Amino acid sequence: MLRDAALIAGKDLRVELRSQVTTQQVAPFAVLVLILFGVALDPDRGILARASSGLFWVAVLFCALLAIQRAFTIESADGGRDALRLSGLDPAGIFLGKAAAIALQLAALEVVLAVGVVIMYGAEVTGAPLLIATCVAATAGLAAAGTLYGVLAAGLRVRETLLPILLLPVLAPVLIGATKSFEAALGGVASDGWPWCGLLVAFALTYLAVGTLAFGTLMEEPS
Amino acid sequence: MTAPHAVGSGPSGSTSSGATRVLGGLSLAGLALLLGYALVWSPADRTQRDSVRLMYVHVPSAIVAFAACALTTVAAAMWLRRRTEGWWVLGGASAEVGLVFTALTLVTGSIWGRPTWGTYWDWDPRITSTSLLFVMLVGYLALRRIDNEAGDAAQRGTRGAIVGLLLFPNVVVVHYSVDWWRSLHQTATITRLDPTIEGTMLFTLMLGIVVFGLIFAWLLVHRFRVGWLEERVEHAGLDDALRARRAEAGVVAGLGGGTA
Amino acid sequence: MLAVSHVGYIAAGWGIVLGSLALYGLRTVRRGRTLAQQVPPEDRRWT
Repeated sequence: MLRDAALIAGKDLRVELRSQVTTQQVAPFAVLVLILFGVALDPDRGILARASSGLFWVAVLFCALLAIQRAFTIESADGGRDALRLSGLDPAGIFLGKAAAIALQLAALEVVLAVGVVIMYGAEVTGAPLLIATCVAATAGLAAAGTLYGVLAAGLRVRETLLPILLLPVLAPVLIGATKSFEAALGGVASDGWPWCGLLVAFALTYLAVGTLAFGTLMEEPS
Repeated sequence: MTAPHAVGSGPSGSTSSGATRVLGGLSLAGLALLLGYALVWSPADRTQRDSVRLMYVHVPSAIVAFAACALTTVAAAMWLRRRTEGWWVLGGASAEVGLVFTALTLVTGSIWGRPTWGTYWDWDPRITSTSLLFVMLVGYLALRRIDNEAGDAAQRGTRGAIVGLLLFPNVVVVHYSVDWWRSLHQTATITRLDPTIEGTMLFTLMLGIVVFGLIFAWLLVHRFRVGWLEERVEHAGLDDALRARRAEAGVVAGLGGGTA
Repeated sequence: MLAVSHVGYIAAGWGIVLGSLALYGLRTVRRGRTLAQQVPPEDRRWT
């Protein structure tokens, strides 16, 4: 299973490296979102610094939507989905591999966004370990839930519009937990953030388990 | 509520049966009683005054909405196990009726919040999670509709069932995380009802829950049968479909816009 | 009943709820009738 996962993750990441969609389109989009928030919320009144955790995670959610759409577009082109199904790879492995590839892309985007938030919004890092733990847990949750809902919407005519409405309400706990945790890590008291980080870990583990179990059923479905 | 099914179900057919007529009659009688208790016989609350009368419609709506959401999840789980059409149709029916009650919960909560909290919307945990439930139900129904268009019965369903299966757990997770999130801001959430509610007020609330349960059951049975009929129509052969479409065109014209 | 507070809110709340439920019920029943005419009676198990 894990070997299959590594195979799929490697394949997706190689496709990404070759096409450069994440670096040339999604990452600039992330920075653009930060600039737009800056323009929309008057930068002089200190709103940006106070809201930087929430804005950071909203930007991550938007980028995650793009990355997930992208991860399944590359499968639906040229019947990649059928090829995957016939490849004999473990469906759980396919799920974990796709989720890992999405998670790695998101992690790279989060680094870009974090630098952006620190430079442009003047956020102050006071709890680096909490910050990193939050990012890891939240990213795992985003990628797991995203991969599960991504495959649900994949192959449908209206997937671009359907995925956000299916996925974003489900990700509300991640947004809440990650934002609260970040508030503690950016200028707050770090110990306030750890329980929220626990929520993120629980969310990620739940969705990893559900996805691992459900992916087989979903892959068998012809579409 | 009018009881349109009681007008008469001739040989042409409808979604009514003896059971729905009994349910419909009970709902109407219960509703009349509820209106009496909620608007006339129950006393005004000490702090909320008469706006408490909105609670007798708001709380039952909310309970029914969440019950419908749970039923959708049960139906999805049963469909995944048994793969029988009934469970598939039930999932859609309860989600749609649940969506109506979720919307009513939000609207009545808002209307109640204005005189009580002084605002139509407060970031109360319950409002927040109910509004997210609303969006989730919309998404689930949208996915089902698209799934339906995508192909025949053998092909569709699994996507919708997975989303349906996760519906209630998601609502619970969202609710508790929102609850936790808000509890840090306001130590004492404004209680919607006096915890020591008793007497006529308690009875009215219980009556409201029963009556709304009956209305929900009546709507659900009709909506389930509509879904069942839709399946039959879809499964009918090409000839039948053509004939049906012609008949439908005639009926729609005749009714002056019966929904298709 | 003479000094009822928030009459407007109460009327609006109850009115919207009862009105919406009646409309939704009516719509569902009508939809059922339209569909029932396209389906042979043996497929309507409840009758």
